[in-house]
Amino acid sequence: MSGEWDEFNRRVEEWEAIGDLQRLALAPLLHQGFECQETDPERSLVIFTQGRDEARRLHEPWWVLFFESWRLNALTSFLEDFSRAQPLAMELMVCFNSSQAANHPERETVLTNVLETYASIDPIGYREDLERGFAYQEGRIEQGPVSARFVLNYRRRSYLCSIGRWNDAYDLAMQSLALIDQCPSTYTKTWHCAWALYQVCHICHMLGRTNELASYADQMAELSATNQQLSRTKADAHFWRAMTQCQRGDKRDASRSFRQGMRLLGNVEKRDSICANSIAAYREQEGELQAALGVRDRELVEVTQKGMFHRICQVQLERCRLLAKMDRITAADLQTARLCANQLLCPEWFLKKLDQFETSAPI
Amino acid sequence: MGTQGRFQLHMPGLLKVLAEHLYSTQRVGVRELIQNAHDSCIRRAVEQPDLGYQPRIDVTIDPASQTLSVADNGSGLTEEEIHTYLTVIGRGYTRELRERLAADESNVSQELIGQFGIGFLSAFLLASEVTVETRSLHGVPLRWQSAGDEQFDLMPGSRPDIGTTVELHLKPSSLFLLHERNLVNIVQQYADFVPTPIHIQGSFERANLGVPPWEEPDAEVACRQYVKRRFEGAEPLWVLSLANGSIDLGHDTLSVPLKGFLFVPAESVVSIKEYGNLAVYIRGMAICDSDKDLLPSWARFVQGVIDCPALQPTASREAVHQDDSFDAVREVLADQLGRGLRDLARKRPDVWRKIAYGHSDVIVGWACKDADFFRLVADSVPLKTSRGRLTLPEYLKTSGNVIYYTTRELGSLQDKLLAEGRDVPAIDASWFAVPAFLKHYAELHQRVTLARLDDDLNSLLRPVPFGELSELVLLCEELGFTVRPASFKPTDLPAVMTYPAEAEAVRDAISALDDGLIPDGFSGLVQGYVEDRRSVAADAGTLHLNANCPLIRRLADSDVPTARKQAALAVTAYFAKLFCGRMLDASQAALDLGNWQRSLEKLV
Repeated sequence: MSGEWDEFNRRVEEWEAIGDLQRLALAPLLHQGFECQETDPERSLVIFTQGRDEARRLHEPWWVLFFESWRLNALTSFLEDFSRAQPLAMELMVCFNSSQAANHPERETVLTNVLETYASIDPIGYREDLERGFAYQEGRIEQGPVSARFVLNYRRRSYLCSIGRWNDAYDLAMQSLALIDQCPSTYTKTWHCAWALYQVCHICHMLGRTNELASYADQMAELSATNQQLSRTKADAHFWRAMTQCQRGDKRDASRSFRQGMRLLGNVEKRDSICANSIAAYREQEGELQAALGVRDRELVEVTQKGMFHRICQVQLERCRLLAKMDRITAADLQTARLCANQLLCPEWFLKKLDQFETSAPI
Repeated sequence: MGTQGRFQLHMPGLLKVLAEHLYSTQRVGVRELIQNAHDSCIRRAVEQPDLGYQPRIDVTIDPASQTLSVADNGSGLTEEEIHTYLTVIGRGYTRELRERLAADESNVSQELIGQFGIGFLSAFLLASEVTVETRSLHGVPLRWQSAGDEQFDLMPGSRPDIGTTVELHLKPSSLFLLHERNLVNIVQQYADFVPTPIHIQGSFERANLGVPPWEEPDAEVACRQYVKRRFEGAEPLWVLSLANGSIDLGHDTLSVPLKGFLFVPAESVVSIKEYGNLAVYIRGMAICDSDKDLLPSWARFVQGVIDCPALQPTASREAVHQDDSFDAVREVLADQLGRGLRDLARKRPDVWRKIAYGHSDVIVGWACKDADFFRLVADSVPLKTSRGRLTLPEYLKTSGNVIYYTTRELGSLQDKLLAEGRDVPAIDASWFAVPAFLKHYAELHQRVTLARLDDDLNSLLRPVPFGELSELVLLCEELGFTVRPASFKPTDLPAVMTYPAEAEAVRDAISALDDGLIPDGFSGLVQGYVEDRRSVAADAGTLHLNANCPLIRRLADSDVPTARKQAALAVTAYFAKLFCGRMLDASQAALDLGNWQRSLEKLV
């Protein structure tokens, strides 16, 4: 990744030397866009788009590709809008593999984001292609403690989680945390470690590793407190804390942690989907199944129309599980979930899971 | 059983924090000393009224001894005051004096700046040793000295006249202050509006303005001059004077004292340059140079300078607290700016037009984010069209409630020509924010509809039955074209070529696969993408023969030999393909040009 910034800085220095104000105005857009990724990701996308368009006007192809890569990143990482990300991902896939752009420092990031896009749309349907893609990136990206490696590992863990390979995701997470620990830059280390822990907590929850979960949540909270851009991980840490405290019977502490988490989420966009797993887990733990269902309903509204077909099915599955637990599942609920599953390339996995909630109630 | 405790102070640690870590820059240290000097002059004027009194602050530097001195002819300090105020952290005479004056002499109290009683400590940010020579009207000259630790020395001084001189033995990191130019900059940055004259190195001319431009007799001219001097920019496009405001709380009204001005800078060489920042003063002393939160988020084409005593500075006074007062000031600013812009658009449309021209990219972009601002500017932002810049009402007069626009540059010439053929200009919406702006506009105006030309020319190309053109269609198909007859304008355009929206992307993906450019690990995904768009991949473009075109009609009616007809059609079709500008790379263009030329030769 250092190559990216070397090149970035070299270009900026050249413009500074000749006092090219028009071009110099491009560089700060990256910072501005990055700054509002959590609080206003749509604005962030607008700023990167502005950068791309301005770079086009100025005939700066390197910068056009640079901002295109950040646009894709905004769409995949913070907006999580894969219906918009997919055509861009494919366009950039072609662009960044052309002879003119093959050495662009953003190439690896773009390719990893292409994988993230397809893994978020339908990880089971694209499973073989994704496995091949991840294997390719494994060979391309440096094995040492560099950002590109941390991002690749993060994306791969997301993929493993979404296809239910929780143990593999856990092992990869442990390796990643050890690698991140070797990173010489405190800022980079904090950032990637907090995000790795964000996944680790969910993985531990799914694997029933409750004691570890509590400790990782504490670590995540501590790390996130050192960076203002880590509101989401900070909030998530409080929700997982609340869940584990509730599990131990510390209801008052749990309630306090939960409220702290909600306060932190106040300024973050997309608050109904980003911490849905931890919030719903806490609600369920405290016996508030209706509230847990509400979390999933709101999550559903948010992820619909963003091309996340797999996630929609996951949420539908969770809804059905909660409804079954409440003894309220209807054939209509199952029918809706099945319709969603049928939008996937390989719906069998979800359909089989839904069969276990089979009900005799009329649709 | 519980116990009660009491916090302890660790003086060396506290002093170090306050003196060295509270402020972000050493420049602020000079500001604090000037402010103390100013408050001392106000105090003398209040407590020892004398019509002949001329307050004055002198800042001097001595590179040889590496010292900087700030001297005033204010009230000076007695021994008791030194013990009660100067050496007590957190207690300041100014705050107590302000509270005392607030009831009877509120105007005077407003001139006092100090608040926290810690500003003097900033001297130790700059200096390793500080000496204060002071003489009060009712006291003897005193000399106070400290190296910034817990100890200080107080002894008889030698100052002959009333006032105070603070002498700093500068630390190596503060030696930049020994350059007179730097000192002038600092004084002008922080204390330009402080009424007490500040003289540097004994200069006869004062270094600070003393009076803010908005209080000059011709405020607008003074503000414009100030902008040119302070922001080193061109003449601003517009200046708006600010006034005290009030907020209706329902049960009560909240008054917000506010002075200053906002301005719209001249068009930047950088079209995406955003401003939206305010220089904030409190009682004439600069707090921050560039607050980004006080102006409404959409006002990124506006800058300003305000003085507002309602704002609460932080202890270092380098920022303001974002509290209820902050929100109130924000509201008042948004209100005055909104009203100012509405008035401007109504009364001085020429000026508003200049603003909208100069900052249109920023204005269009932010209008999409803020409904109120959108309503304010929707009718007056000029957009680029094939007939120059037009506002939407101007545009709609010619287009009859339909907005024709094109979002890409590639192939847009044909789209624009087709629009012009129907006697309507096409809006250039290639700047990313323009399509969203148009969409908002159509949502607000029910009768307005949008026609995006790049993906769908149906609104301009009216399909017609094959009828008389059947033979021509067949001849074109023999040449390998997919053909649809249509009627469109301009009538002298015989044919146009159209492609699906994703045509280039799919073509590029296919050729990248064919050329082996896509790594093996990703070829499956790209292959899948192409397969999902089979129909786009198979679409080689559609040639629309213009049934309204006299040339096409003559060709359809004439009995010239078929070979000549086909050659004429080939010239037409290849011309349309080249004119369309899409799906052309250099080799394809060369090929089509060759075909066009050969067809032309056949005719000749």
